[in-house]
Amino acid sequence: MKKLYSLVLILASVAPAAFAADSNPAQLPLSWYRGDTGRQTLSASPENLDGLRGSVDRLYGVQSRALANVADAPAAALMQASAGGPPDLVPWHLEYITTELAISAQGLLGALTVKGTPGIQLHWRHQGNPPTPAPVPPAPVPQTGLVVAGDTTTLSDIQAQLEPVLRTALASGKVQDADAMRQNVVRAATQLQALTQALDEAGSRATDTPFWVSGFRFDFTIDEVGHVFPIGPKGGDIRFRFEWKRLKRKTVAAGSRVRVRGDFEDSLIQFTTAMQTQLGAALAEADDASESGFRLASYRVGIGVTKKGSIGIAEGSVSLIGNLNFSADVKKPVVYPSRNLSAKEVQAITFIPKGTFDGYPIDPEQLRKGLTKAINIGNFFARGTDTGGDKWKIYIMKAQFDMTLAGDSFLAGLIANGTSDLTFYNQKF
Amino acid sequence: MRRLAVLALSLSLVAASGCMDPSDFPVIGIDADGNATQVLISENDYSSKLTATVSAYQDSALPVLQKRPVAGAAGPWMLRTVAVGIGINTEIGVGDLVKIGAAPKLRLVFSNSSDPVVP
Repeated sequence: MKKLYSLVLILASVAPAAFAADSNPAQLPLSWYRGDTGRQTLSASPENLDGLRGSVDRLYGVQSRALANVADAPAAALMQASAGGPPDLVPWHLEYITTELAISAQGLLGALTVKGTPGIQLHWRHQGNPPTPAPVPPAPVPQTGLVVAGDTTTLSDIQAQLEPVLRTALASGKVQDADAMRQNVVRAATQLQALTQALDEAGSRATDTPFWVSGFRFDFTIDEVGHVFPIGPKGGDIRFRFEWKRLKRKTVAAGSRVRVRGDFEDSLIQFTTAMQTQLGAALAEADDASESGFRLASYRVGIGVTKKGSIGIAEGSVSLIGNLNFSADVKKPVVYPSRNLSAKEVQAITFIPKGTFDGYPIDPEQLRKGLTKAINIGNFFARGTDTGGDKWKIYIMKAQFDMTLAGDSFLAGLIANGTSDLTFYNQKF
Repeated sequence: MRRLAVLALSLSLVAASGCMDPSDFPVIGIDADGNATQVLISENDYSSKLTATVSAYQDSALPVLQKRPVAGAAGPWMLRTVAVGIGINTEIGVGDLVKIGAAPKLRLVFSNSSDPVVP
C-alpha cells in the first residue's frame, strides 16, 4: 500500500511537470522581453529556441494557409475604375492584411486580441506573377503632406499652408487667443526648417553606415490661450502632427552649416549621428539572416528632450515627444501587378519643444549591444520563404521594441509602448 | 486509497489538458484586471474563421466601395484607402477565453491605388 501511495504521489507531482516541460514552446528567452536582464545571445539557449522556432513557424503557417483559402474577389466587385481619375487609380481591391503577435508578461507568444501592443506585426500582400511586358514607366505622384516645407519655403508660404488648419482649430471653439495660436504655430513651423537641415547635416556626417535619417515625426497640442506643447501621454483636445520624410539619402556639402542653429539642433545632430553609427555597427555585428530573405530596412526610435534641451531616447510614453526614422537602402519587395513608385519627398513641419524629462547620456557601446540584440531578435521572427502559402506572402515584418535608458532593447510586451521598431523587407517576396 | 489514485490521475490529466496541444493556437490578450493572459483556442477553428472573415469582408466591402464616385463627382475629396480592424470570433468557452474576449486581431486594408501606402 505504501508503494502505491508513493507511486500516486510521484505520478501526481511528476506528470504535470513532464507536460510543462513541453507545454510552452512559445516561451521567449527572458532577455528578449525584459530589459537589463543580461545580454543573452540567441545561441545561448538553443533548446528553447528550437521550440520557439517551431511555434513561430506554426503560427505563420496557420495564418498563411488560412489566407491561401481566401477566394479572389468576384469579378462583379472588381469593376474597372472610372476614367478621369488620378493616374494610379485602379479598381478597389484588398491590398494587404495585417496580423499581429503579442508577448505576454510571462514571455509567451500568441496572436494578439483586440487590445494591446503587438510585439510582431506581419503585413501580408497578394503576390501575382511577374509581368512579361516591359515595365510601366513611373507615374508622377502628387505631394501629399499636410504642410509642405522645403529649403526654399518662405514664411508666407508656411502661413498660407497652415491657414486652413488653423481655421479648423479655431472653429472648434477650444482656442480663445487666435493671434497667439497663429504666432506660435507658425514659429514652430519655421523652426522645422532648421531641424530638417540639422538632420541632413547629421546624415552627411555618418558616411560609414548604411543608415540615413529618413523621417522625423512630432505630435503636439495647443491649449486654450494658444500655447504649443508636446502632446505627452495625456493628449489634448486639439492635436497637430508634423511629419518630415525623406525617401532618398541626401548628402550635404562638406563644411556647410544650417542657417539657424542652436543647442537643440546641435543635440539633434549629435544624437542622430551617433544612432546612425551605432545602427551600422550593430547590423555588422548581428547574426547573418540572409537565408530568411528578410533584410533590415528601417529603424524607428522614440525620442525625448531633456530639461537641458538635449535629445535622448524616450523610455515609455511619458517622455516620448516624437520619433526619428532611420533607413537603409534595402530594395522594397516588388508586388505584381504594380507600378513603380516615383521618388517623392514629403516634408512637413515641427517645432522645438520644451524639456520634458531628465535624460541620460547613453553609452554608445551599450546602445550598440542593445541594437544588435534587437536586430537578432528581429531576424529570428523574419520569415519569408517557408510560410506555406503561394498567394499571400509576408511583405513586411515589423518588430516593436522598448528601450531602457541604459540602451538595452527588448520586445514590446502586450502592455507596453513600443517606442522603437525595426522594419524588415522580404527580399524573396 | 483507490480514490487517492483516481484523484492523482485526474489532477495529472487536468494539468496536461492545460498545456499546448498541436491543435491549439495561442492567443494573447488583456483580461478584465488588465493583466496579459495567454489562452489556447482550436487551430482549426482559428484558421477557418480567419478564412471566412477575410472572405466575408472582402465580398461585402468591394461592391460598396466600387459604387462610390471618383473625385469630382463626389466633391474635392477622394477615398483611396479603407482600413478595417476586426476581431475573429471564436468558439467562446469559459474562464480566460471570456475574460480576454478571444478575438484575435486582424486588419484589412482596401485600396483603389496601384501605388498604395503600405506601412
